[in-house]
Amino acid sequence: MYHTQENRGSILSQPVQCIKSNAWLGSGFYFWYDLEDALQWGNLFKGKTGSFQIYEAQIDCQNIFDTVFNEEHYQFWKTQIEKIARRFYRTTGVKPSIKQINEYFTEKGTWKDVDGILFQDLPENQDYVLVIKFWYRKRIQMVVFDLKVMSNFAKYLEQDCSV
Amino acid sequence: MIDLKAIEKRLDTALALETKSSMLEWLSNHQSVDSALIFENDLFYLSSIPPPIDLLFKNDLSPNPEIFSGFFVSFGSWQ
Repeated sequence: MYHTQENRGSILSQPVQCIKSNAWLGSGFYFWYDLEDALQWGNLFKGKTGSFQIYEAQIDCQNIFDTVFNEEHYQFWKTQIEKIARRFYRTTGVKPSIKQINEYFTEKGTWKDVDGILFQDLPENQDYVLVIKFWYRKRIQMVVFDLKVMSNFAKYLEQDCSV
Repeated sequence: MIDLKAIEKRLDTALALETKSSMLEWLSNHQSVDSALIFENDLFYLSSIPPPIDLLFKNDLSPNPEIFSGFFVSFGSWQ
């Protein structure tokens, strides 16, 4: 898995925790599954200093909630999200946002027994897919809640931004 | 092994305790930033979804007015 950060002239000893309230899967340490997505992220959003770093790490996925490759987890994930969203909508007339869904999960202790979540969306930027408007590949990321499942965190590359 | 039944039980218990007023209060205390546009590194993007750069910008990388109209602009970062 790959972790992208802007290059601040030093080498990180561990990933930077994302604490932004609107992070997809809440507060945690974010990793990309594919190097090309880590590169895209660096080029587009980690270029404040003109270059970025990508770190590689191994993650023990034994206690990772896997909505990408584990069918049971995916079905469970989808069911729970829709159950909460449907209840909110039917009761209040308001559809919850991604931020609200994630905060509801967090506040209700949903993920207190898991070490992280593997999640996917689609690489919408046409510069990063080889077939026009065909979403043949997943853009996979993982949030890790507890760094005990991470090992061998090390700098993989450093690159100037190309955007 | 992740105990899915325990997770589901926690969520169901929480939902069972909810009322219309508690849900409305919870929503108002957790305001969405879905429609916020974010400016960082000279790029604008929607805050809570993956940045749809090809929609937000025209070919010359100038902001696409069809997308930008109707949103407000904020500062920050998606992740």
